[in-house]
Amino acid sequence: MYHIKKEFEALIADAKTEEDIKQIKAKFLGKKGKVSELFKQMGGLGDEQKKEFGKNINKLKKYIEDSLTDRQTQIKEIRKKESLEKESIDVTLPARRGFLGSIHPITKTIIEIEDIFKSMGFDVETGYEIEYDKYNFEMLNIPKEHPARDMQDTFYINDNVLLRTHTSPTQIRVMENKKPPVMFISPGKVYRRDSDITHSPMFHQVEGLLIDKDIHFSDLKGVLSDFLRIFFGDVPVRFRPSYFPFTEPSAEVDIGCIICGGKGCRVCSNTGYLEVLGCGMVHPNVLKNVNYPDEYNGFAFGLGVERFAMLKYGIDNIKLFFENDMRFLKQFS
Amino acid sequence: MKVSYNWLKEFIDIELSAEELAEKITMAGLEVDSVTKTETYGSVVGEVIDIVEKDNLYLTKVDIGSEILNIATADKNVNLHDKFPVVKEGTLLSDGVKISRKKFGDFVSEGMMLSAEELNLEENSSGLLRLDETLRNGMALSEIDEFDDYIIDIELTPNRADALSILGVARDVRAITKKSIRYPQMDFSLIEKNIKNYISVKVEDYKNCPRYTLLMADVAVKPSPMFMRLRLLKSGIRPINNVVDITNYVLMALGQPMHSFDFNRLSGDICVRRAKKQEKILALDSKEYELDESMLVIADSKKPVAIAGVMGSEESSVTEDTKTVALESAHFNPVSVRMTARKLKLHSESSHRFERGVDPNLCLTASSYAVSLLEKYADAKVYMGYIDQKETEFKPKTIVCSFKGINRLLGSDFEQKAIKEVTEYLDFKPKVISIDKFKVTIPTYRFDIEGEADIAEEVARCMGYDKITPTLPVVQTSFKIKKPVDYAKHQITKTLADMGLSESVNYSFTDSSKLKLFSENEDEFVYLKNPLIEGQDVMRTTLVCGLLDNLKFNMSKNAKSVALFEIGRVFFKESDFAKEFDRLGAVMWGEASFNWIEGRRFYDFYDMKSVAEMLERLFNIEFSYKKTKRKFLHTGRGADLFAEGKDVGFIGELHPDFYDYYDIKFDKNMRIILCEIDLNSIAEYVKSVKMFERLPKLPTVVRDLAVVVDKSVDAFDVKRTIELFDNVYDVVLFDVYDKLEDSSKKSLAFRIVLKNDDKTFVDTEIEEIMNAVFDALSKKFDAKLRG
Ligand SMILES: [Zn+2]
Repeated sequence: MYHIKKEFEALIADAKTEEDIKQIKAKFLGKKGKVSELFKQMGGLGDEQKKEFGKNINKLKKYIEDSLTDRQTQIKEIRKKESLEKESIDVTLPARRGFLGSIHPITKTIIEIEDIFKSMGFDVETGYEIEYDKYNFEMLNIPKEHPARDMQDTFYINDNVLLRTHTSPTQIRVMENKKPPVMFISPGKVYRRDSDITHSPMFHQVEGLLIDKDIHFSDLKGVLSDFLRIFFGDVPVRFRPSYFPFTEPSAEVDIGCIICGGKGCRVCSNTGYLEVLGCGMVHPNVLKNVNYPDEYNGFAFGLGVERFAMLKYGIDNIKLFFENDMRFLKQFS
Repeated sequence: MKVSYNWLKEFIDIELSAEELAEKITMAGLEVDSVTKTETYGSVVGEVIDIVEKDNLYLTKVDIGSEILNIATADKNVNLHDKFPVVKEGTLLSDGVKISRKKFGDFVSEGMMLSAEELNLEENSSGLLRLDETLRNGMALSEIDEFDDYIIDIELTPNRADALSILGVARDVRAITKKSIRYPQMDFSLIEKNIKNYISVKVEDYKNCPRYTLLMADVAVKPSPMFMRLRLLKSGIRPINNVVDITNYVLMALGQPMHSFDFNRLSGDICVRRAKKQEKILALDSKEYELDESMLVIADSKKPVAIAGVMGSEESSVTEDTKTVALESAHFNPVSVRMTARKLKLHSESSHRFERGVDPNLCLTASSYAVSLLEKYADAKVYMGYIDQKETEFKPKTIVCSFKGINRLLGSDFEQKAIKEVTEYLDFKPKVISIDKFKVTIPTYRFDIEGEADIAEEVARCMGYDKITPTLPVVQTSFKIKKPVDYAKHQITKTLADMGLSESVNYSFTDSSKLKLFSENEDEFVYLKNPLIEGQDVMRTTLVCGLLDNLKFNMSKNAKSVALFEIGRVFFKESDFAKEFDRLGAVMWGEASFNWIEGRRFYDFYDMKSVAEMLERLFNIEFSYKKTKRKFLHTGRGADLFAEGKDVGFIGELHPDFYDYYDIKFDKNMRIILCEIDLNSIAEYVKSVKMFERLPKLPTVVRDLAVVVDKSVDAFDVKRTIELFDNVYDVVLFDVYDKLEDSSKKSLAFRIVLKNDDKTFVDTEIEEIMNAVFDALSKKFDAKLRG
């Protein structure tokens, strides 16, 4: 009996298909199978012995039956697994999709700036890119012979019409058409007759204006500090006296250099600070020019979008914005 | 403006280092660009005691006290007994150059003589730096103050003309540090000769020359002393001779531009007048300028001897032979000087200051300082008397300010005492006139101060902008209701990016010769009067030119797939002004897909059409697509877009002829597809909100229908005919087949979804509807069922 068990165990361990199982079953449990043979041998034994022997054969039979069932289940499972395995795909292949498009870093930056100011309650206005000298200069307290005109080399269409050199004419356009209070920003293209490694003849600015009763320089500091900290992260912000003909007092705003963390590097010319925008309290002459009542005042600011984008994305050449190289643009998808 | 730290310290005590000072004045409104330390590299005074010329080189022996060095130099102007800064071999200069032993035949050069540039005293030197011959050979340069200095480069805003001098900067330093100013010594003695016996001045135009003063002196022209030459170098001014240097020195020190005439080269008396038409002058820069009647000149009895406030003439200038000088110190109208300098494109240290404003009360102080220096360094004998032509006195203006007003504008809480003190140190002589009001007297050098806001700025900048605590305003404002286009631009951008197009941004000006290809109406072009370059001479009337340039650029970078769009303005002339429109433009070319699932496919018309259809959905409008009439599009593969009957743009393939203009080879598989749609016109037709449509109550039924029609039939019309049936809920055109036996025909297959709101369909009803649909198609389009 021991030999039968050993033989069975060797065969079943080798069994790989249901056919194998069937054959093993016939060999041991069939009518002429080895277990049946054992029962036949029982005839010549005494009662006690018969009882004992029968018990052992039944035990063996049960063992063989159970083992066969287990093995069969096992084989089925392996088969199922094998058939799924055969359907394997490469999960590392890229997804089903077309080419990715992208939003230009200038637009991306404008959207981000707009979102911040909108959340503070600023409206968004658009202006004209071709403007009258009057709106671009004179109404902004920059008469014809003013030396500040040297600061901005201008493209002219005719003696009185030009490509706006800044977004500030929008201030006048809006104030002429709307009673105070006003509170808006205005992004757009501006033009200066200048082209070199750091200047492009066309670039983008965002103008801002807030006019109401009793607005202070401290409000200007508060609004712009918050804006800069949201846009650039938690950087130090400092206000420095400067000059614009249409604001008084005027300020330039620096942020701690985000490249070197204020230690000094090439980008910040070792000052630890980066100049990012110009601002000031609107000059009384400008408010007079649009006939706003005396009790109103406010602040204005202007920033260069390319500069913000260059700092934000680490772009080091302004020309890249206007070449529209797909390899550049696709980085902003 | 470059300011020597040492020179500044002569005017005011400074306890701060140069860097600390730079930081302080920057934060007070004088923005410092850079602080440069001068260098000496252990150089010593060396005297040239022997020179041999060989192959354009000068092989010299130089006595440096302790020893005699062999030094080769290329500087032609080296003479015996000249003294120069000398460094020995082994010295490391700041640009990393190490002085090494060099052989020139038998001659071994053991060191180097230096220029001012190498010592960081100026930006570009043309030769070696000549030292005073009185200096002891071998003396270390570091022992001489002028060589141990910092140059503070200040970028002044145009309003701060008052700070365009060492004295001016010192005044701002006083306002911050509250120290007092030291004025230079201005003593001199007079000789018997009286200026009135030699010359007179007539001013014809007091408006443009409110004041003209003249002093005279006999002088000995020679090089100016080393300290003066070094200070001028550090200020960015080339030394010439003692007389010219002294006028420049006074200009830098006090801010008064001065001019010295060689008295013996003047003919007769001086007249300040307008130039005559086409009058010419050969200026000190050796160039001839033609003047006009708007320009002010200083003339003698024969011709102009100076362009007022801009530059003197060469013929009246001081030379080595000059014996007597007439020293001009005047005040000219800023606008007049500015216009003249601009017209002539001639800018000088003098015009730079006059056009920003020079203190009219400074003239005689400056000439006193100049003649005292002439007496010291040019052996001057100063004539008695002076000429001072003016019509009026130049009185300072006064402004009444409110302490509260200043604090309200700034949002600050400065005490009256503090505000008053700041204005005192600015020399505004404040006088409190009531509980809240004070009066300030503005010095005549401060042209920029007009009212209380300016005083507030002065207070704020001297106290420090950081002393004002940030606050947030509360504003009650109402928003404007905007046109859909204004707020949809960003949404279009985002959607197109999702659709696989990349946004580009192009210059608004373009090449007029290219623009003419795409535009019929040249009279509407807006030309630039002063373009920067030829290819950017006109404002674009279409976005297509820029996009095609972008395509071309990317092709040159070996791009295989280009899909770009731009949202920007185009410009059309309207009498003297211009109209501006917002447009959406796009270009597609090359691979539309290139991946392992779909393989390779190229962009075609229908890829671009998805852009137009996106706009239809976004704005809830409907375009009709009609065969294009635009000459730059492929006649059979282009559509003009109409909204409510108005032409609003196009989509289509670039006409094959146009490939040549762009020097692109035509490839029938890789065509250039363009699109341009006017967003402003669309905005007029935008329908309000698209209302909700009730869902079918009962189950819908789906049927397919394939018909054969003539190729010229528009699929849109067929589909629209089906859609018009009451029971039709939805129609999808799912197949177009045009390889039929009859090559003039095509087959269109539609999936039609039917609905019935009253009761469930029975088969016969469905059949009836489908028959009716087919009947309509066969009547209208001669459609046959596809067999
Ligand atoms: Zn840095």
